[in-house]
Amino acid sequence: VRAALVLAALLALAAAAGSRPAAASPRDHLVLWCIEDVRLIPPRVRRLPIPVGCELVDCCPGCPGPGPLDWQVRVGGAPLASVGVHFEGLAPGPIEMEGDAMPAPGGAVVGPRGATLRGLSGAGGGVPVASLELGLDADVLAKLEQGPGGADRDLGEIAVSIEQRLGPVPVNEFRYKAVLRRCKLAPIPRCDVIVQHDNRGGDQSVIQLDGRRSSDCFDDELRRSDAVSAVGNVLSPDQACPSGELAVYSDDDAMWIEPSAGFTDTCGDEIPVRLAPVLRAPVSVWRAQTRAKRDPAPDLAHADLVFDDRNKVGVVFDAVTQDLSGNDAATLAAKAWCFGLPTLKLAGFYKTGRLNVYYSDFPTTGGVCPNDPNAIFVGTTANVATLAHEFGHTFTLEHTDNLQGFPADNLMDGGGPPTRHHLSLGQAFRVNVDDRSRLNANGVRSGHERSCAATGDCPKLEHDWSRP
Amino acid sequence: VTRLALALLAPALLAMTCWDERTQQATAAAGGPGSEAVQGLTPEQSAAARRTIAAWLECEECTDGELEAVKRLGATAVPTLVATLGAGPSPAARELVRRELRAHYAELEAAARARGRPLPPGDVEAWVEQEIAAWVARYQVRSAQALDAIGGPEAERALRAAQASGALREDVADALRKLLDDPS
Repeated sequence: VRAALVLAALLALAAAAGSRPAAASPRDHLVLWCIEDVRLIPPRVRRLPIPVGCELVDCCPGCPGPGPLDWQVRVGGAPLASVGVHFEGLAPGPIEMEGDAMPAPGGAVVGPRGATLRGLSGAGGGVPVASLELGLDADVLAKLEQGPGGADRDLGEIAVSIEQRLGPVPVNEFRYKAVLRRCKLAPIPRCDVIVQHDNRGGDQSVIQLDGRRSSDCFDDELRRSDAVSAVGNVLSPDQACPSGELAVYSDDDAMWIEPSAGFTDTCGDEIPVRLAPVLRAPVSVWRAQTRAKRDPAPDLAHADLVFDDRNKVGVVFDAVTQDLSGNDAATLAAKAWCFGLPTLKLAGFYKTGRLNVYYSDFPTTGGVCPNDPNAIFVGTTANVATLAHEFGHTFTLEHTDNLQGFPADNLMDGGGPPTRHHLSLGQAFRVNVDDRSRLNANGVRSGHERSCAATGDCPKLEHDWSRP
Repeated sequence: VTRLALALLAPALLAMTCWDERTQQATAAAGGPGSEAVQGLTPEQSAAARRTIAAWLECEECTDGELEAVKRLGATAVPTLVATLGAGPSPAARELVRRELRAHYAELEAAARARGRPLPPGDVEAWVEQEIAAWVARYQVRSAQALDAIGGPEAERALRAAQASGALREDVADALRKLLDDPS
């Protein structure tokens, strides 16, 4: 019996190890959205193109090859009453429908029970493209908005999925899910406040606060904030609720963090937050490509976009570029990827204490050298997000594609779309605070740091604020 | 206690049995690594194989066993890899990425201009096509690597035909030459 129990435990462990979440499809969209701005979701979704066609050129292993496709459209979430599917470039003729759908100009309107649209193909060999028109139920949304729940809780969701099928075989997928949260809290009596100074971007910053109030102990509470943010009566930390950490994330400013914000038990605390200019990470870019040359400028602009504008991480990149394409020894060494790094260093094509990026002739995407996290290589088959992705690795971030709660457009997805741009607040925290981040190791950032892995005392990696 | 142990064991044993059956079915369907014969796949097997191949073609550093997973598909993957070696991404995928890149360029320009280092003058379409060309090259290099890893006469024929076509970008041709020249 004991042996059987041991075996059972081992098998259960093996089963658990084998049940990793499925990797996100390249077109899995998952957003956290402010319910107050829910009206902005339909225009944003309308801009997402959904081509009619297979993901791979021969559609799938064992498939007979391209042909008319069927779309299985699923609609989810109480606030979503209908989804209009509008096609451009479809072969003429009516669309055959099954399920909860009605014809509409240029396509169909699918109801909450979902439907299948059959026989879709392009006119004249072109690729038809669909766009979606979300029909939101204003009454349901109003009820959600007025219902219980704080700023940090999910109120509901909207979901659309489209599975394109060639006969019975799924050959392409699209999924969109918006989780709705309340961003603006109900007015609370003015008591303690956080007062921000010098917000250069003039944006609504994101405040992350640990602490306790008379009713509860809270951890990584998030709120969007203007210059003055009322937080109720936050009490001084005690044994049961020891953390009083406050962090602020803002566009065009460095992340601000104070492990002990200084709240007292009396009402009227005014906690000042003096934001500092955005961190400028120095980067040496060595252009050592002789063919299929990439221009680093758009790659760097994308990195700035991801690490500052879009996700309030508070980091931009100051690059100095040197062209080595005429230096045969250097281009050859760079083509050898990390194996060539000693040669490049010896030749003086390396600056210590900063990130060094080599644009290489090696036909791959990108990578950080295992023996030197300040050395990044970008190959000939990179895309515009590769460099920013590698910067993410140097700032301790790992791949997210097998983790729950991360969409494929997260920068650290191991293979998402070329324009992937999202970073969660948990990731932004680690970029700044983790002691292994090159921002700290290279002295770009000074201030509080800690080991997220060793202490486990960092926000959950997927913890995030609602956009916009 | 015996009953409890059996109750604990039953789901695990059932899961193992099902897993074995699935593995056997998939292997039978695949015809085994390197086999020329590809039998029909169930829709689910076909979709799973397609996702496995796409994950390899699209991965960034490919550190999660993506190539090994394609290799395990064996002959099942070969026709698709031959197609992607020749043609790169599908027309639908290209249309999607082309539109995304066009829309994204305006954002890049704004971000660069706001920081006082505008992007070099050029045309958005030229940049988009450069990005697409790099992506096509990635598909071709990865397809060649997977075909080489799977091996077999059909894979080798496809690699030699691609090399002989003279239509490949220089970096792709270089990668292909290395694969074909490497006796291992």
